Amino acid sequence: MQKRRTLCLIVALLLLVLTAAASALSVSLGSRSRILSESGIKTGQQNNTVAFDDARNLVFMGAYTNQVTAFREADPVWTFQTNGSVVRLIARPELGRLWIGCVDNHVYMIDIETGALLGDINVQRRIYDIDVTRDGALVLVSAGVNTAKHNLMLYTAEGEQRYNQQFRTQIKGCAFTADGTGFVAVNSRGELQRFDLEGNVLATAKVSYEQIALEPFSAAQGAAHLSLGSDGAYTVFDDDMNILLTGRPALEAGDVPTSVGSSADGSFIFVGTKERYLYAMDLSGRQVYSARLSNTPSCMAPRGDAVYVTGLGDFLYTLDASALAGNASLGDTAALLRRAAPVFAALCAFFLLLFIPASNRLLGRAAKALVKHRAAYLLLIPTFVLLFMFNYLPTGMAFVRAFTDWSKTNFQRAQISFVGLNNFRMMFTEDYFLRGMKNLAVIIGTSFVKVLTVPLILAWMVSMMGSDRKKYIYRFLLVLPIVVPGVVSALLWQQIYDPQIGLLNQLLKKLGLEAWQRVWLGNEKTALWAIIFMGFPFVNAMAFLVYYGGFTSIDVSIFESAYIDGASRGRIFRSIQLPLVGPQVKLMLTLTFIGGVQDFYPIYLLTGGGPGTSTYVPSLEIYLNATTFGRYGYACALGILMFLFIMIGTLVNMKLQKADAGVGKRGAGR
Amino acid sequence: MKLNTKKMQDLRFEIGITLATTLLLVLAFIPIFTMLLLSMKSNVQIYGDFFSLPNPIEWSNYSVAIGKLIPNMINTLLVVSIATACTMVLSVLSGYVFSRLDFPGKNFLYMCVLALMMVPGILTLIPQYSLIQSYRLYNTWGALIFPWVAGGQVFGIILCHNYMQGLPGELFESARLDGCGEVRALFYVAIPLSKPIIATIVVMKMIDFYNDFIWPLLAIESNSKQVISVAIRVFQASTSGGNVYIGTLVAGFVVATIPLFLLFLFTSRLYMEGLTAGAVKG
Repeated sequence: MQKRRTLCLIVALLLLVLTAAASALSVSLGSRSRILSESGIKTGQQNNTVAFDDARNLVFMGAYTNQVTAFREADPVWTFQTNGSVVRLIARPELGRLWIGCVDNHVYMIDIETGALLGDINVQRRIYDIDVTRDGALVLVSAGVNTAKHNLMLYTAEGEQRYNQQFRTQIKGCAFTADGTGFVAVNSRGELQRFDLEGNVLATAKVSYEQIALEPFSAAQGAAHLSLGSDGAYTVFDDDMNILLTGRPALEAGDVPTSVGSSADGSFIFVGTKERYLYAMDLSGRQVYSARLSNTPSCMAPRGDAVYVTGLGDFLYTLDASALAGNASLGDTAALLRRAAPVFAALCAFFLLLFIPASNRLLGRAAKALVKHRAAYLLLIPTFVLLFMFNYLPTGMAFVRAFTDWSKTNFQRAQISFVGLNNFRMMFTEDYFLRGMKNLAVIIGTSFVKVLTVPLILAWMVSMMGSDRKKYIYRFLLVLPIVVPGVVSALLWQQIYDPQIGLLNQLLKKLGLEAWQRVWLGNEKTALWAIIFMGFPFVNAMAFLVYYGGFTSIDVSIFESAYIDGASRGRIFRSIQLPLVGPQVKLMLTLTFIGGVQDFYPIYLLTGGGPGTSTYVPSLEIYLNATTFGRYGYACALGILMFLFIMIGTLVNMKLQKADAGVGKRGAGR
Repeated sequence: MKLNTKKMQDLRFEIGITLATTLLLVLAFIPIFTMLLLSMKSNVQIYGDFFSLPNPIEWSNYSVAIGKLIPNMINTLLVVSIATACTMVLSVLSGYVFSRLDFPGKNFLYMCVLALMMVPGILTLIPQYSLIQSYRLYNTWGALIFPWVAGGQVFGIILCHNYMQGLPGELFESARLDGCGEVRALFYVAIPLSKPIIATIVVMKMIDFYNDFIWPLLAIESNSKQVISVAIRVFQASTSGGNVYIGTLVAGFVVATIPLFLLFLFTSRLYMEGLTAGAVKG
């Protein structure tokens, strides 16, 4: 016994050491290699695209702000002014020329060493992409006059048009095939198309999203193309339109991809997004790296082992692709260690507990119980796994993140920071919440009235009807309207309130009451009341059935004698039946309260909170903050307030129910 | 003589409540009648005389609406059926465990389930939206099914627990004496006896899932995967552009209503009895 205890202690200590080692290693591995570094080139402009000439050691920066500058190391060599932002640079060092595709409708051909203009093609349309054959004989241009019509055009180096075709789709990327006998283009219908030099479509491949960029891709088997979809998914395809590779980075909600690129050996693919993220994926589509840049990345160009990354700011980074390869495996190890550390810690604690005699005995008993009742525990596993993942975890998250600046832009855990009670303070400084609460009070107050009148009286009337058959038919018909889905019913009421062909205004017209016609939902004075009036005559099927259950479970003999003694039905209703359905009434009040605080979709559908803030409610504000405004932390704080609100309401009700348990105990019976 | 006046009074009362109920019934059906009427009229007929009967009936409204909504309808039926089936299975299993088995920690775990009744959906909406993305479920049917089942089973477990606790214990006792294990007792005793409450859960959850609007709106991005409640809204937005075809739009409303109508026709008794009987106790 003593020996075993010592063994436990030794194992526990060993595990403690392992825990410490694992966490230390994971930290040091995580921050090991430097992947992005500044190139030293500063243009003083807002960049857009980059190209380079290895032989002359020149780097060309195409600016969003109308110029192209050549750099040798960090020093500018020449500058070329354009009349629009530069979208694409094609360098052909062996020819000593650089082609510039510019949104000012021109393709400029300039001398690579001096920046002197050698040729100029006016395509008379806004240029989206260009490409030039290896020998510089042909220039391919995709351009458009508007967003619906784009052209693909071919020019000779001298500017003579060889081919021009208009498409009823947007073509944002085009490139020659490796052998120069044709070209490929990607369009907004998700089509990847291969053309010959006469413009005949030879092959088409289809992907599911609009394609927004096309870049070269150097695959091991030869040249290929890399296309980016508006959902962030990239597709690698060869000149025969075989799709070689696809993948998609896990973008943040609401983020939009802008650019794509690959490393020189084709082993990494990069996607840049509007929210300034740069993602790197390996060939299996696994994300190996991500970084947030100072501005939206717009061009990734491979050069040797490095990749140039530039974007809509004054920056040019070199990304070390070989470090990336190392980073992928190092990152894996670090992640593994990070996950292993808590496991070691838990095991360590376990053995420590075994070492202490008291807890040892407790553990033994627990283990025995676990084995003995294994059927029960096993059957509960699926339930609790689901509850943990989709209920407990989000609830916990809401309570923690309500105190942070979690938002659309601060999305990743590393970016979120605690802001104390700021979110809660904001509710009272931003007017919206208070106005919403005022509207909510009116809505809940009226819904109490609604649920306490019509369904209650209806339930009583139906329960007093003579024959069971008649009761059943009325019950069936009164409940039938629940088959209309909530959304449909809300939209139907929108129709009813329509100013021109709405039922309400048409009815007023028919009755000759044109003066009473209103733009019901568009008028600040009537909108809230129009929302409240929805569902007239407020036959709430659920409340009706619950009350009905209450009325029918009352023993008839209780009030029959009173009736025979001459008490009026109204009197019996008031002093005998009504008190006996008290529990049902309270239940419905609670449910109405909970529902009233939470259900905002009719308002969302009918008015969206407007006009002004006349129908704004806090739950709608939560939704809008979670979607349109992207202020997640604030939305969580609002959620917590609503939760407290609901809890207090429910507790008050429960207290009331307990207070007269004598009635409550009767319940509905069965 | 006195008896007679009492009888007269009874008759008058009966007529009175029948009339009042009928009046409320008719009022409650006005939106539904309007929906049916508009769905059979063309734009010209609607703008001409709003209240006139459709002549000729514009059946093309329905063919257009059905053509547009049928893929979403199929999605909905699939997703809702899967989610309901899963909810039912988990409710029965856990309801049985909590009501008929004894094990350490039972009360604590059951309180954990009960506590979730207090957590409003609006609180977990945003964290759930973010978690769905980290689970890689965003824009898949899993994003609907898992949270629906997870949340829906809470109510189901409580109903099943209450119902099964009310079943006579002798039945389980004799099953055990006959050599029936805990799991077999579930299948041969508990489930057959609990059919009414299981059916109630199925019907209620089906209606709930079918009606859900906000969550699918958040969790599903592509219209091709979308369920009908959101699709009908998209359909509305798409028809109310330059030229509004009210008839077609409203025919779409009718189409979206049909599945629940059919479900209700066959299960109305269950639904009504479930709510009338168990409400307060549950």
